[in-house]
Amino acid sequence: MHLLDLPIEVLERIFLQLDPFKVAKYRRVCRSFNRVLTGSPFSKLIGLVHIGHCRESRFDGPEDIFCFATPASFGEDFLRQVQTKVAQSFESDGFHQYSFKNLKVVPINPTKSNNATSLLDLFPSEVDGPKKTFHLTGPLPSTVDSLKQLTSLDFGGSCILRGANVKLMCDTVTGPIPPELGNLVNLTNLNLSHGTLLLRSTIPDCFGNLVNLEVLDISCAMLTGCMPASLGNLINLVELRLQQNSLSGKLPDIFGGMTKLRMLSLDHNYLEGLVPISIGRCMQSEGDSIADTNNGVRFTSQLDLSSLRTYAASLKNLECLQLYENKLEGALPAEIGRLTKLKILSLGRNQLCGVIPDSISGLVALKQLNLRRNSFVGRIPDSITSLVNLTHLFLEYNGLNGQLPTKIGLLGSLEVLTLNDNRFCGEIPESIGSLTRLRILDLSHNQLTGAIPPSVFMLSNLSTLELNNNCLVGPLHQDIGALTRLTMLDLSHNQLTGSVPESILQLPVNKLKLNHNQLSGALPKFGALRCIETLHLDHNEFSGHLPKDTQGLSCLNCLNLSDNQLSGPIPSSIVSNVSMERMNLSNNSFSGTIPWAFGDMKQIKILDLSNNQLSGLIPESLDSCRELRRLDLSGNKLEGDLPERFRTELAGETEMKFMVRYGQLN
Amino acid sequence: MVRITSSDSQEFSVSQDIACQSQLIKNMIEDVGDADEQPIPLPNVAGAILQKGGSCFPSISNAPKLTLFAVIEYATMHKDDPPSAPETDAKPSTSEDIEDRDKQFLNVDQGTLFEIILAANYLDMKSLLDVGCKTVANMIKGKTVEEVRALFNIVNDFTPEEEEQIRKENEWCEDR
Repeated sequence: MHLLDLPIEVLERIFLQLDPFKVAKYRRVCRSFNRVLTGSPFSKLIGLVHIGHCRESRFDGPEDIFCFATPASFGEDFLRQVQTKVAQSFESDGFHQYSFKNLKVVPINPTKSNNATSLLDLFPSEVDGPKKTFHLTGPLPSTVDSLKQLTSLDFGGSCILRGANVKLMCDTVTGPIPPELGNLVNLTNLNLSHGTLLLRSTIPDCFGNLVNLEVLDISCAMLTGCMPASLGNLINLVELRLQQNSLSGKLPDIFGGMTKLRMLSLDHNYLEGLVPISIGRCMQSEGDSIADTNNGVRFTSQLDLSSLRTYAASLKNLECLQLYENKLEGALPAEIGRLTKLKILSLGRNQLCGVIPDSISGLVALKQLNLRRNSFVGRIPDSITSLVNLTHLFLEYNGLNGQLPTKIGLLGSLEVLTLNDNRFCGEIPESIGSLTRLRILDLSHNQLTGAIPPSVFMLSNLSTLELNNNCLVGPLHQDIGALTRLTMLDLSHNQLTGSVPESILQLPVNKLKLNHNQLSGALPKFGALRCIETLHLDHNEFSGHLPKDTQGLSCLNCLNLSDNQLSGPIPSSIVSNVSMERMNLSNNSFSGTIPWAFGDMKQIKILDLSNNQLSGLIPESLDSCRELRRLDLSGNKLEGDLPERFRTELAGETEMKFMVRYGQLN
Repeated sequence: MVRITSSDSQEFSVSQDIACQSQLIKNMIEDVGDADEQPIPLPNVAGAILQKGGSCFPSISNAPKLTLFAVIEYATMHKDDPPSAPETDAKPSTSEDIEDRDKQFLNVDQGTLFEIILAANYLDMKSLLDVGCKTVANMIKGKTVEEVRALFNIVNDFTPEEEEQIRKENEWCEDR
């Protein structure tokens, strides 16, 4: 008995057991086969056809056009029909030059697509119609490996089909990456990013066969397992993006041949071990043509920087080394200085210790140096001042000590300098005034001594100046008013003396903290600080009356004038802003009554008027201060009772929602 | 027990659960009703095929080996199988999942295999038909067009122009 003696329905049944995309080729065996394979159900098989590039589309740049085809109708007639349709809808004849021999075809999930024929019928008319989205489900067919000529396969962002206004969603496509993809040796671009289809998949070892790949993007795809060492074969890679997966294990030594690599993104995985030496050879880029952010190495994993010692030489073209927030330990190797093309060095939030090596001066191209939140000790090497391209220098939260480099002014490009929370001592170098581009200067929480050099007040681009919590002495310089862009000034917790110069009122500050010094004389007439939100002048030796012209301070929500020698009445105008949240006037010698207007501060949380000479009745208006958490009126000569609400809440057994100190009542 | 008679009046006794794996026989039993003693006629199945070496069923008259006996053997082997779940799209079967005993059972020459498939088709025994088709599919799988022709002794009956046309239409799936 012969195979062809079997009835047609049995032959059909046999073919249905075969892979739908491979079975069509058996049409050529004989007429009987052809008859079966062109009839139902096989005529409903679909392929996704890449028609070609639309050169003059109405969109910007070339656009890829795809469509569906069935094997049965995938003939020239059909293509001509589609081309005509597409050409019409794009008012362009750019398609006619493509013969179907140039087409690239991706068969997608043939068994699951309902109504394949109607998809086909729809496509040409939908090109110029409203947007059409096709949804596919099921696994990626293993038959993709028959598409040997395929050069681009893009599932990024769950959109397979780009071009025209047709969109093919594969957001419900599931299953592992078919290893057969590894047979598509002509692929130059493989994008499987954001693929829920790859759930719990590993990177197939055979991806190492895709030697023509220039872009491999499987980011955000829930990948697990190790990175296969075979990826080292992909010597044409320009971009390798595997970030935001669950890749684990040791980062394999794969970068030796990747001389074209410009973008390596491996962050948000569980990779560990040493950075392989070969990584150094893959960053050969030159010039500024490539943006800094596209030329970096980013990991979030446990890595050991000590291997830098070995491969520094091969890293000499590296422009960006970002290992922020890892678990780097040990000292920064002196060899770091050989990375002469490095523009960004970000090693913040690690556990590095030891001194910053002198050789750092070798990083002549460096623009950003971020070593914050480590355990570095010792001085800032004087040699750092040769990094004239440096715009950002972050060294805060370390254990650095000694004097600041006296020639720090040579870093003429600096825009941000944060050295706070270290143990620096000595005086602020005069040369700091040469950093005319400086926008942020934070030297707070150190042990700096001496006067603030007047040159600091020539840094007219400064927006933030924080010198608080040091041991600075002397009066404030009249020139402080020259900081015409300053929004944040914190000189608190020093030993500054003398009166506050009038010119300070010219600053556009919204935060001004001069508290905990020994400043004296009259209070600055802070009614002129129109942008002020937080004003701390407490714990000084200011005397005299409160200014009366403060009613225009509509942003002020925190005012602290406590522990001075202020006297006279509290004017109603002090309630400049009904949204005030904190006011502390305690430990002065204010007299007179509490203004009725205090009841207008509906948002006030803390009101401290204790230890003054206030007298008279407590205004009932305070009853409307519903947010009040702490009210301290003790140490005054007030009469009468607390407002009703406070009385009842204090008398009741209810839980105290606020704290009231009233003190002695007559 | 069910008694089955063939068109040439040969009679076979098989237990009902075995016989009813054939949807055809099952339907017939239901049609005949309670007549226990009434033999079930299978007019299209010659009695000889119920016996080893039989040769009365026209299309399988040249079978070198008993076919229906084999079919009964298969049914006996599978009498304890749970009833097969209705086919769902959610769980497509693949030609890979053939039980070992079935593999062994179908390890016969092509002619016999096709005869068994044919009988299974006639007797409407879905599981046997499936496993038979899978076996053939596995023989085809991975082969080129030319290899398939050679394997099944199929003559290429296309004109060169016709074959070229199909080759063109099939460019997307042909081996390259």
